[in-house]
Amino acid sequence: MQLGLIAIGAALAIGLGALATGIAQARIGSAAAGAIAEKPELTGRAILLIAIPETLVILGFAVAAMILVLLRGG
Amino acid sequence: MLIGMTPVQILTHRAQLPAVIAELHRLAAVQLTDAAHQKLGMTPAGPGPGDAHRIAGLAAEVADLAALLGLAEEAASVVADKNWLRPASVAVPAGRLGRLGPGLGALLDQVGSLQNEYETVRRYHDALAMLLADPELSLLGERDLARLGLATVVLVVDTPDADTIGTLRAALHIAAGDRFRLTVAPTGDQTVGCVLVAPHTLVAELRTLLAREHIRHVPLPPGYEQMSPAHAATELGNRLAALPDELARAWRSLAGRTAELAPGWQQRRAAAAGELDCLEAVALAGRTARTASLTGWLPRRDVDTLRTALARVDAGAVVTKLDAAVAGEPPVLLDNPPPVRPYQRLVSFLGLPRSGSLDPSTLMAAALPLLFGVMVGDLVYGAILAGLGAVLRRRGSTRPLVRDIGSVLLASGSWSMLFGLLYGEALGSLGHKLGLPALWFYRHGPDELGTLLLFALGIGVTHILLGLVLGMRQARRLRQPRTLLERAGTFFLLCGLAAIAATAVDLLPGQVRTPAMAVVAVMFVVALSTRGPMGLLTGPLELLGSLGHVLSYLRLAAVGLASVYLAEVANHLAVSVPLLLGVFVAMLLHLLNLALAAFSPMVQALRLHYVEFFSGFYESGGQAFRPFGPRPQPSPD
Repeated sequence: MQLGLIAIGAALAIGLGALATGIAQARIGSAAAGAIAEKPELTGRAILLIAIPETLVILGFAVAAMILVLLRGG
Repeated sequence: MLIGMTPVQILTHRAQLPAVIAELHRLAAVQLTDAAHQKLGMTPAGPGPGDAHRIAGLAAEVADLAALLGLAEEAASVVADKNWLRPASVAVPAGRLGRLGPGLGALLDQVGSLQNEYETVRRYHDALAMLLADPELSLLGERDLARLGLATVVLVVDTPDADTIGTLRAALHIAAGDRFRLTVAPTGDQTVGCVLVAPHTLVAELRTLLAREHIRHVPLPPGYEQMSPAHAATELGNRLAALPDELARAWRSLAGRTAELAPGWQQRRAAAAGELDCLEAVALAGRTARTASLTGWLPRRDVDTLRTALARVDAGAVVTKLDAAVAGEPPVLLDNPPPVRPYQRLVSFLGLPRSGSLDPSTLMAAALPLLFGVMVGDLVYGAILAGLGAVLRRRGSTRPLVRDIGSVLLASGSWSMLFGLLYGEALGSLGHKLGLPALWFYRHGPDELGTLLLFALGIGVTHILLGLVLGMRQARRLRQPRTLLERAGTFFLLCGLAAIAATAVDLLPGQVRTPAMAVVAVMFVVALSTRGPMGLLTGPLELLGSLGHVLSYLRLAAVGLASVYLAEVANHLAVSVPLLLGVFVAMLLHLLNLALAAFSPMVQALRLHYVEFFSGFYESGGQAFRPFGPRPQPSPD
C-alpha cells in the first residue's frame, strides 16, 4: 500500500510536469513554426524556445526521483 | 576564436581610386565603411554622372545571368527527375536572352508549346473518355455524320459556374431550335466536357456564339475538328502517348544547350558582379581636391598584406589606422581550427558573439559531445551514430552543412560509446545481461539512481561555474567591475551551495557545512548589492534562476533513463512474443530509440549550452565581417 502511494506520488510529480510542458510547448511550437516559415534563420532560436519549458518536466523528474530514492530508501 | 579587427583608412590619389578599389576587391580582406559620411571632412567621391547608367546595366546583366544559371540547373534537374511537365521559363527579356543565350528562346518556346499541347490533349482525351460512355455518341462515325449533313464539335469549357452550360444550351436552342444534341460530362478541375452534334451551319456559328455569350473554352488542337468523337478520342490518346518522348527530347536539348553555355555565363556574371561592386564602392569613398579615401575594417593580421598589395597598384597609397571612435562597432570574424568549425555554426545559431567578447565554439566542441554521450551512454547506439557521422563526413566533402553534422555526430557517438562502456550498456540492458561489465556504475541498477543524479548535478555545477569564470574574465577585460562582482558573488554562492549539498550526501566532511553556509550568506549579499536598489527584489529571483540552471542538468539523467527504459521495453517484447515477431518488434523499437537518441539529446545538449552555460558570459549581437570582394557562389546546402 505504502509502496503504491509512493509510486503514485512519483507518477504525479512527473506526469503533471509533463502535462504543463506539453501545454507550453504546443503554444510555443505553433508560434515558432510560424516564425520559421517567415524567417528560416530563426530555426536555432526556435529550437531553443521549444526546449525551454522542458525544465518543468525535468524538475518533475527531480521530485519523482527524490520521492523514489528518499522515501523508498527510508 | 574571435579574430582581432582593426579600422583602417586608405588614402590615394583621386585618379588611382578605381585601381585601388579593384585591388581591394581582388584581395577580399577589407569590409568597407562609408568614408564619405564619417567625420573626416570629405565629400562623396561618386558615383559619377555616367556611372548610374552603367550600374543599372550591370545589375540587370548580373540578374539575367543568375536567372540563366538557374535555368541550367533546373533543366539538368528536370532531365534527372524526368519531370517533363515542370514549367520552363526564364525571367530574361527576349532581346537580352537572344544575346546571352543564342537559340535558347526557340528551345524554351518548343518546350512550352509541347507542354501546352500535352495539357490540352489530356483534357480533351479525358473529356471524351467520359462522354463516349454514351453509346449513341461512341457509335457515331464520320460516314454517318456526312450522310446526315451533321458535324460534331468537342469542347472543354472552363467553367466553375454550372449555369454556363445552361446558357450555351439556350443560345443553341435560339439558333437552331431542336436540331442539335449537346452531351455534357464534368471532367474535374473546374472544366466541363461537351460534344455538340448539329448541322454544319450551326457548328460554323458556334465560335461566334461562344464569344457572344462569353463562354471560355480550351481550343481543340488543330486536326481533330473534322473527326468523329470516337476517332478523335483514339487520335488524342495516340498523341498523348507520344508527347512525353517529344517533351523529353526538347528538355534534353534545352539542358544540353544551357550546360554548354553555363561556364561562359558564370565567367561573365563574376566579371559583371565584380565591376558592379567596384562602381558601387566608389559611393563609399570620400574625396578632397586631390585625394580619395576609403575606410574599413580588416583582420589585424592582414594589415601588412593590404599594404603590400596596394603598393603594387599605387605606390603612393597610404594605409593608416583609423580612430576606433570614428569607425564604430567592429564586425566579427570567427576563425577556429577545422575540428571546432561545426560548433562555430552551432554558436552562430544564437547570433554571433559581440566584438571583444568570448567565442565559446571551442568550449562547445569539448562539452557538447560529452553531454550527448552522458545522455545516450550506449555502446551499440553510440557505434551506429558514430558510423553514421563518419559516412556523412565523407559524403559531405562538397556540402559543408552535411560535413559539419557528420563531425558532430561522430564526436557525439564516440562519447556515447565511451559512456556505454562506463555504464555497461549495449542496446539498453542487453549488454549487461550478456556480461558487459559497467566500468563505473550500471545506470539501470536499482540503487544507482542517486549516483546518476549526483553525476548529472556535478556536471551541471562544473559547467555553470566554468561559465561564470569566463564571465568574470570577460568582465575584467571589458572593465565592468559591477558585472565582475556580480558573477564572482554568484560563483562563490554556487560553490557554497554545492559544498553544503556535498556534505549532505557525505561527499565532504560535516565540518565544511558551517563555513560553506557563511560563504553562501556573504556572497548572497555581495551578489545582491551589485544590482542596485531593485536588486533587492530581482536579485533573489536571479540567484534562484542560477540554482535552477544547475538543476536543469538533471535532464542528463532524465533523458538518458528514458532512452534506457525504451530499450528495455524493446528487449522485453523481443522475448515475450514468438521469436521472429519479437525480433522484428525489438528492431523497430530500437530504431525508434536510436532516432530519438540522435535528436533529443542533441537538442537538450544545445539547450544546456544556450540557456544555462552561455548565461554566465555570452554576449550576442555581433555583426558578421563581410569583406569587399567577389560574391560567394551559392552554397550547395
